[in-house]
Amino acid sequence: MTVTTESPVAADELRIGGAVLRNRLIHGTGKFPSDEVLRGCLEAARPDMVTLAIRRLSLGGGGRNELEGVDLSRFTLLPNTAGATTAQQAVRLAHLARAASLSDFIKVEVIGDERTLLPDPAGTLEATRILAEEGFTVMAYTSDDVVLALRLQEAGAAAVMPGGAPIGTTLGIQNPFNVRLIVDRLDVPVVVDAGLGVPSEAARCMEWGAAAVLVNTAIARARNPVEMARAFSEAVAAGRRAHLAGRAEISFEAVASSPSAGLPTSSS
Amino acid sequence: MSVTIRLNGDERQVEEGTTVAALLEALDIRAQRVVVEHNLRILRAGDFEAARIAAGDELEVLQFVGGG
Repeated sequence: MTVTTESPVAADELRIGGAVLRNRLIHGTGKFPSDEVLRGCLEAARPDMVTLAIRRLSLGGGGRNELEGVDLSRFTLLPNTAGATTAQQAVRLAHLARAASLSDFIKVEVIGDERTLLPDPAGTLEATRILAEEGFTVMAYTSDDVVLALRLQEAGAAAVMPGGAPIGTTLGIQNPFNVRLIVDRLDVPVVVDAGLGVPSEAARCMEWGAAAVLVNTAIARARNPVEMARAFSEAVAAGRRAHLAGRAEISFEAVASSPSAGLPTSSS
Repeated sequence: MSVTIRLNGDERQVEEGTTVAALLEALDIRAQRVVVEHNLRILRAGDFEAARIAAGDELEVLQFVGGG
């Protein structure tokens, strides 16, 4: 193994579609206790990309929008198609998102089961295909099924986003083997999205070679979301730095860290 | 003449021929922060003045909200 002391991190950028991300933590904006807390988290984590949803305006007044007062112009926006249960619904939401944001990024999320919020493979694939053909930069939220991830890439996804665990559970990566296979097999960026619970899990994904991670609930529902946002951002950077540094080889035999020669001997 | 339309899923009475722009203003909605779907057709902000409401129209007024 060639040893190097170069620091590749300074030039390390993630390119997805027309966006350049230096911070590989993609920050969710849902379920925050207040817009003030969300603003604090975004200040602490300093992501380059944030997710959003599209919903009806509350016409009776009194509807809370935690995006009030957030300066979205600082970020690359990643609207999602959350709520869609069919490809057709996802495509409609994507069109609305593009009209609202003037951006062609879309997180395709087509849910197949209301209780587990796990993605519908067929709907996700169909929506990805349609929207990629229409010129959207599609980031597809999917399961940890390796073949499906490959099909999404073939269908034109600019990034594939396997879930670690069901949305909102913060259970952590349930199938590390599959997630690692996806990271290894795909050519497009792999973003681990959903179910991460603590920063070390995000760091682990980055050590494996994931391009980025997407975190929402683990930050929004932490006891101190602002501190947790900062911790996640630091962990993602640390994991990425470690991946680029190249881990030491595993040895199945112990090898002492201190020299074996030069020990003083006693005469008794 | 007052006509019935569906706005964000709810029935509402509006004057026939009201523009979408005027309706948004009457509801105190800032046009820059929303996207509007008029009978499943997405309107750009520049279309709001020209789009007129007729009986039975379906309007969706949407915005970005927090999400993951």
